[in-house]
Amino acid sequence: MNENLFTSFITPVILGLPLVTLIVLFPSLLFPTSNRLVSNRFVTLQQWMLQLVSKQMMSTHNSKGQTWTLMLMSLILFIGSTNLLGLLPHSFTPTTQLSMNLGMAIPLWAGAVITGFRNKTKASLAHFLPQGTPTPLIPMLVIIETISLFIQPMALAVRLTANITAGHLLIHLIGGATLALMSISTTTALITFTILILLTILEFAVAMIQAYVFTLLVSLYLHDNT
Amino acid sequence: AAAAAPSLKNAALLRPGVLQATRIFHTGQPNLAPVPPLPEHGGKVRFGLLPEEFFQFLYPKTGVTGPYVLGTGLILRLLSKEIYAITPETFSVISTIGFLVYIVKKHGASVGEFADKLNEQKIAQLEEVKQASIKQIQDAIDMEKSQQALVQKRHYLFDVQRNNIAMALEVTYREQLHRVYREVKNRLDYHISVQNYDASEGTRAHDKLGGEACGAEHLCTAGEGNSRQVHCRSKAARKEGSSSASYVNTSIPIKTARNS
Repeated sequence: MNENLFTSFITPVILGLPLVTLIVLFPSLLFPTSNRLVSNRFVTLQQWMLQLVSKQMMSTHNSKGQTWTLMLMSLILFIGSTNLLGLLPHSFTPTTQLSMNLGMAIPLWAGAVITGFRNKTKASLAHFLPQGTPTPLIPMLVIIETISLFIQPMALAVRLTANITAGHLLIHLIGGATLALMSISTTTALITFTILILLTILEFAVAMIQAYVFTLLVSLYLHDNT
Repeated sequence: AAAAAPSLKNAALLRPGVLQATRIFHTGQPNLAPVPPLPEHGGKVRFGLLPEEFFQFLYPKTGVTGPYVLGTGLILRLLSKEIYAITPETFSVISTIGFLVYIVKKHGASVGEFADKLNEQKIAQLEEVKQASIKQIQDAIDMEKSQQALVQKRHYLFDVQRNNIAMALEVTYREQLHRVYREVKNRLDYHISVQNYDASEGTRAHDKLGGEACGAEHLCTAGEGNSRQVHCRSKAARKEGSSSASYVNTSIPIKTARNS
């Protein structure tokens, strides 16, 4: 039971060859580029969606923050597409691996913070102390704010990993429960199956929301620091 | 000399623009082999997976139910021999694929229409600009043409004005002529009535009146020797009530005030 439950999270290796590289690179095939003014429906819809998201997300930044648009847009597309592809049966989701999420979160967070410290040192340091704190509390508050700053990349990575992994696990478990209940009483199995369907819908939503949240938080850190 | 002179343009392996120039845009086929053009709609499929040609291929031998029986048999073989094992994943497969199929069936057409509408909006925007430009130029052409036509017809206006002026001049001339005629007639009538009076009544009546009529010294300036009806309205003639004013054909120029 244990072995079966977590086998879907092992990084796929075929005959010693890391398949995971291909799996990580695969979603890029799903976003074709087109130089035409009028393209097919697929490309038109993608372009429209990308325009919508980039306008909504990057309009609050100044010109220095808007140089990050390409990075953030590719981030949200990557996380969204890998999460959604992972919901297909028997597929592997790269974002379930903490290593990968840390690799995404730490550089982005560090880039934002270091930019802030280099260009607006005083303002970045001022973030450590919220306005209007009573004087005796200042030392403790500075320590707390420092901790909360350094926990940001960890939180980003672990949030994404935990959500996606938990979702996959739940689907697997409830599927197993349905299978076990099929031979005992079909009605309960049907109820469980309904729960599974609702969960699937939730997972689709979660896949997209997590992508959005990740990117939004990075853009927020950027906004603070530009 | 220009090629031999050292310049940045000739320094690279490929001169600028060479690589782009070797790519020929839209002049001929993109492939070297004769490739048939792409059809507008893809091939028809049943269940989204099996092409229609497969069903047509089996139809002569097995009829309509042939492919379905084949499919059922294959699926049952897979399941019974556990080539495909039922695992918890199976239920997630059913729920995920079922959910996706439901979404596509329900909203597929509307999403496609939305995409088409996006493209149409793009084209319509550009078309709008083109049409506005065309319309503007057309309007300018039409206005120019109408103004040219107006200029062509301007001579009518000038003719009318010319005619009007000519008529006015004519009228004025005739009016003045008539006035002159009347004046001359006036004077001539006076002189004729004076003559008649002198001839008929004699100087006796003239002396009786005390030379009233002499006071009226008409100025007879016009010595026109033309035959007109001359009617004198001198006071003497009216008092007398005589119809002595006869219509005299004055062919002789009247020498009165000047000669007397």
